[in-house]
Amino acid sequence: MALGRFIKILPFVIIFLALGSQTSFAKRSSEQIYTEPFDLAAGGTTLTRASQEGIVFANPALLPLGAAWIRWVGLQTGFMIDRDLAESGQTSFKGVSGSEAEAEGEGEGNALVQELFSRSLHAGQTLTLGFLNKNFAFTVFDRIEVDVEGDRFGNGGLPAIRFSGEAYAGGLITYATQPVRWFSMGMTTKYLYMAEPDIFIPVTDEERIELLVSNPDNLLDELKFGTGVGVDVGTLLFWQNTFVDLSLGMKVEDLGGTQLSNGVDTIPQTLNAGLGLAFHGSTEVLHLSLDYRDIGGAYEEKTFKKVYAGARLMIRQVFGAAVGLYQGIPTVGVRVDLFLFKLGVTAYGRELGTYPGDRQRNMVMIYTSFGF
Amino acid sequence: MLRWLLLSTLLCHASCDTKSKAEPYAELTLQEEGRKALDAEDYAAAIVAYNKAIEADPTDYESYRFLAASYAGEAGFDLLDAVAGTLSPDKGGGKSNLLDTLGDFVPADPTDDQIEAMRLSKETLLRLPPEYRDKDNTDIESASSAAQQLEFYQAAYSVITINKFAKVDPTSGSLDPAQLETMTDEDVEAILGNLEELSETSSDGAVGEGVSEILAQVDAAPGGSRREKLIDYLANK
Repeated sequence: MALGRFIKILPFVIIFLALGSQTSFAKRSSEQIYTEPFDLAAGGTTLTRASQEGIVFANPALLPLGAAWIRWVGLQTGFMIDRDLAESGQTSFKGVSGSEAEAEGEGEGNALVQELFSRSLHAGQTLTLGFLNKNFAFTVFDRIEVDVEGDRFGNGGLPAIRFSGEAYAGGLITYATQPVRWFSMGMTTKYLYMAEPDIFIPVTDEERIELLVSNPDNLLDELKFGTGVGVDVGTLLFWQNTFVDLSLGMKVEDLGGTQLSNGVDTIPQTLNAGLGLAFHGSTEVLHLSLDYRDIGGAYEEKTFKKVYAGARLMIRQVFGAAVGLYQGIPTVGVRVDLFLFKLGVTAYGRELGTYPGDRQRNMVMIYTSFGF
Repeated sequence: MLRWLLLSTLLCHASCDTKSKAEPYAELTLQEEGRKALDAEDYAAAIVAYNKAIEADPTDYESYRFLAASYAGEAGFDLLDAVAGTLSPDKGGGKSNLLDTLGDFVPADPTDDQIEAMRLSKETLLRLPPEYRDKDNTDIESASSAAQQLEFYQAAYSVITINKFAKVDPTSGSLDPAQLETMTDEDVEAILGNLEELSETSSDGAVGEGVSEILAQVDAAPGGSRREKLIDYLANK
């Protein structure tokens, strides 16, 4: 049957998609295109508080806030993987990496189908290189996430394999200023190279599978790569005393909409607002924050997908711990800063679907950075 | 250090549960309610939701397909099992005849409600405008898949109806002739008429070929009436 042939090409398709997505992407959600991993641990709240290079993606108006003239110079890299996969580790990986060999035996092919339809496979990588001072920042980045799942009723009730991904790369230039003590504003100009492929391959559709087997370039046609230049504008209002800070952040993301070069896709403009509260001790700081993204509903998402809440605790500027709710899903993370070297782990969840529990992915991310 | 960080993070995450806390606060559309129920194999709830969705918007053709899948699930026919099972040598995959292959994936002893649900499954897809279930229509993305879905459900309807009468006699190991004799002309028409309809709409493809082969074999079987031919074919298969 057609599925047998499909299983034989599955490893190739996965690799092909991963390679293909290095060169493009497209946006389905109001989530940020990149969130710094420690900020992810704090529920993805970024509008009033963001870490390192995450500032330029979060709210450019945060740039003038630090005490030091140089906010961050360095490189950060992270790898994320579906937490269920990470926990069951080798067993799960064997099911996929060995699939080519297994597909040779039809009984084993059935096992692979069971594996594919019993759990999702999600993995990704991020890399950033940035220079940020109090007024100016230059950052280059990439983020690639690939998701493969067997959806039992995915194609109008028919079983289908769904390949989706988010691939972003680009450069950002940010300028920010603080004209008065209680107000700052900033602007980021970004060049994006992106695509968000979302491809269903019905396992019963012999013609479609045949098309893929005969000419994999057909798959490439379905990945709509695009480039575009967009602008984000942010503001921050804050009141500060010795022990408590209160801040209100606003950001217009993709001002006027960011048109992509493929002529079809546009990243819509969104208005985002956040509220932050910080308590200062002698050596520690506790930040509480709440973000509401896409206030105007450009992405037509349900409210739960637009709400982010979190808390960060930094002790002696060395150890950090964070918890939060990312689209209603609990997050937690820890980070250790050792001057030039930083290491952290974040466990978080994302909802890729439209309602809670639809396509929830529980992820773990390990990241490290070199810089100061 | 990394191990310590990883362990502590995962422990914290596990202890606070990864289930979405937003579930009680999110309002679902009828389509989402249906899909959620379908994923949970709560077919009765999915049928209610998709029927409401179609009632609200009769041109929501995607919901017809999901409704058909819900009826098929209610009937006990799991297409994934059928597709995956054909790869298994000891189940459907070891058999060359379409009836035997699908027979492994529908209830062996179906209730009348299950047969009716399977009938409703195919009938729901037949309510789609013809261009929305045309295998060769490339203008509508889902048309080809809907056509295949209909083929499967039509074939499964005939098979599940046959299963009602096809009982294996434990002493002889073959089908019990007495049970086959209880088949009425109406049952025969439901089985063969449906297969003929399927054969007409699906001349190519594995299912269509399989059905044509069966119809030819039934026609070649001895007997004066269609009922006698079908009973003879099943008894000697």
